[in-house]
Amino acid sequence: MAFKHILMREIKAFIKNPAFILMIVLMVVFYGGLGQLFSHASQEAVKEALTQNIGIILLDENDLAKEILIYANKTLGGRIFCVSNMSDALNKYGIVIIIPENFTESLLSNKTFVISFNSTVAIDRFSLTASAKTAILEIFINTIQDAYRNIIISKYGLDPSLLNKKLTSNTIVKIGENYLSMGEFNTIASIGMSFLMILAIVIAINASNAVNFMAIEKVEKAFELLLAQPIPRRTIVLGKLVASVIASIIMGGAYIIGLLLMIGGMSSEFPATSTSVSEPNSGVNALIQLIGTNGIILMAVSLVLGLIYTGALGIILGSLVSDQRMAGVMVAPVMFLFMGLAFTSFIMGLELNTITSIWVGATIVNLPIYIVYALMSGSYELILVAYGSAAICTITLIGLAVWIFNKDIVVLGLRFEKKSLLGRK
Amino acid sequence: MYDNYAVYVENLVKIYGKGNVGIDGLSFTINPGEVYGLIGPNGSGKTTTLRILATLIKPTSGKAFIFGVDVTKDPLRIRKMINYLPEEAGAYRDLTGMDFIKFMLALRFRGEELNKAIDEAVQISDLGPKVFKPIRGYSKGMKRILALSVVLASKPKLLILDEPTTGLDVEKSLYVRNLIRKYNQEYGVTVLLSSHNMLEVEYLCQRVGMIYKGRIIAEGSIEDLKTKTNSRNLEEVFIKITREASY
Repeated sequence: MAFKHILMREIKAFIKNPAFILMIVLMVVFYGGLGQLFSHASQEAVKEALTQNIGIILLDENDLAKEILIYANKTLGGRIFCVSNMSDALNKYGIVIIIPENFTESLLSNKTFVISFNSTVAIDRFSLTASAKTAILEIFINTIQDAYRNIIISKYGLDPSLLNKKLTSNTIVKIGENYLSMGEFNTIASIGMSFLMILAIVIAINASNAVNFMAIEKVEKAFELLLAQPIPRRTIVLGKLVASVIASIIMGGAYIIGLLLMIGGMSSEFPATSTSVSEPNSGVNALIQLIGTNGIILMAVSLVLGLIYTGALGIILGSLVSDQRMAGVMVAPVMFLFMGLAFTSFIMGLELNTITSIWVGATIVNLPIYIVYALMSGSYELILVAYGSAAICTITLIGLAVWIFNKDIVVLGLRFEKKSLLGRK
Repeated sequence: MYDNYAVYVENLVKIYGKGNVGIDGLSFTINPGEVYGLIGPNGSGKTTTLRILATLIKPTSGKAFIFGVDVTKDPLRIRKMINYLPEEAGAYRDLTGMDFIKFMLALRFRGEELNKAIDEAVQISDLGPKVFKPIRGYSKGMKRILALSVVLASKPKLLILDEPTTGLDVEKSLYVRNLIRKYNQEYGVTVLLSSHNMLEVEYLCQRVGMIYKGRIIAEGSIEDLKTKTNSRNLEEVFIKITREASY
């Protein structure tokens, strides 16, 4: 009997907690939305893979090479186009494969076992679609492999041992004016994603810490005593802000060191695939070399800016709460918002243009990664736009935090009444 | 005119969201060096009044001056002259008592003045070696006296105390009352306090304002109020006046 009463009391407590209800709603909305987004992006990626045209620079004049290409073209639904100029072909098709001069010779040689193509893929952003674009090469190589096997057996009746050749592609990925090996691209894509998620977590936790610290201060009943002291409210805001940034930098530093240790501890070589020959995993070094010292400094500045931004946001939310229960209500949407923004940019990619720059600056969480992409593309004016947008939003949030600190609400807290929440008394 | 009073409040109104009235045309004055008690039932507007005077919240309308300075126009100057002990004020649980004293007083003082204030607060807190222990291990009474110690050691011109002895045992309550009296008499600190403890108010206050539904319904010295209502003590005064007001 007593157990029943205790159980009912506990259930009532969390059912009546707005944070609990809000979390349930957000979980459904967030993951439902994320699923839709993934589905849409995957469909786009598949669509891209099925419709992507491929430019071929054919250096081998032999008939066998031409026959293989004709066969492959039929198999791929007429998506192969012969071109002569790499630059134009990249602009037009996005994927260009060079069939080497000695292709036929290598196919028919008993001494050659691996045949490599040089290929270039142009992408404008890191995303699922960009990854799909690089995967198309795999499809092409497999098609060529099928084509030459069929032609050799059916038409030429050649030695079956010739079929044991492996076709690979030395792929270069072009992003803006930068050229990356496939290994570097994969590394940067995976590290970029890891960094993106860590930054999103750190930034989101920074905001949630700021909210919770203020809630605890209010619950401990020391807050009003502090507000009655002869110090400007902006001093309190700035003190709390800088403290939350320092705490998050320490925490973020630990996360990033952990990530680097994890990458360092992983296999030092990429497994050989048809589209990426085995090459050393330069890992973080590749990223560092690619973005340079300036890039690292810009990333760090972006991170600090992001922490100031979310710290100010956390202080604003913290000034509205009256206790930790309300802090939970405030923190949940913030966490989901930042995580959602990070996921969305991973799935959809960050296109380099002015509007995205303003958006990334205003929503802050993707700023460090966007800056890296912009730097790699040589889009320096977009970096300035993104920083400008981030700086304006951050200063606005700090100003808003100071303004709220001078209002009654910082003492009284935001109160949700049942009538306004549920529409009834 | 306002300079002549430690506190000058005229027709002060505070309306919260959804039209909830906190105080409704409140007026009273406190003379420099006086201990003034604000008494009234729960929800009558005592804490709202003290919060406005401590510059924590802003009035909707009306006048409020402390030593001639408008609380709405120059809150920072007001905060230099006052100190405020909120109802149930606690302290940061992660700090030691000593760290809390240093932190709070460093917001007001520097150098030798700070050191003197710290020594004084440590003495007032009466925590002994426990002052170096984390506050999370303190009892409610210890936390309350610790908070009071920094407020008193700052020796403000006006001390605003919201129910200073709530939750304290008899011995601690007496200790706090004696401290308030000492700082009033020795250092000339003007005191505005709210309390539900009529014994305490009788012991400490020279004058009392009785607040009901956001208005002062009776004011005067304790003896005057007793005489006017033909009461033996302040509790009786309180009951008679509030009953009369509720009809």
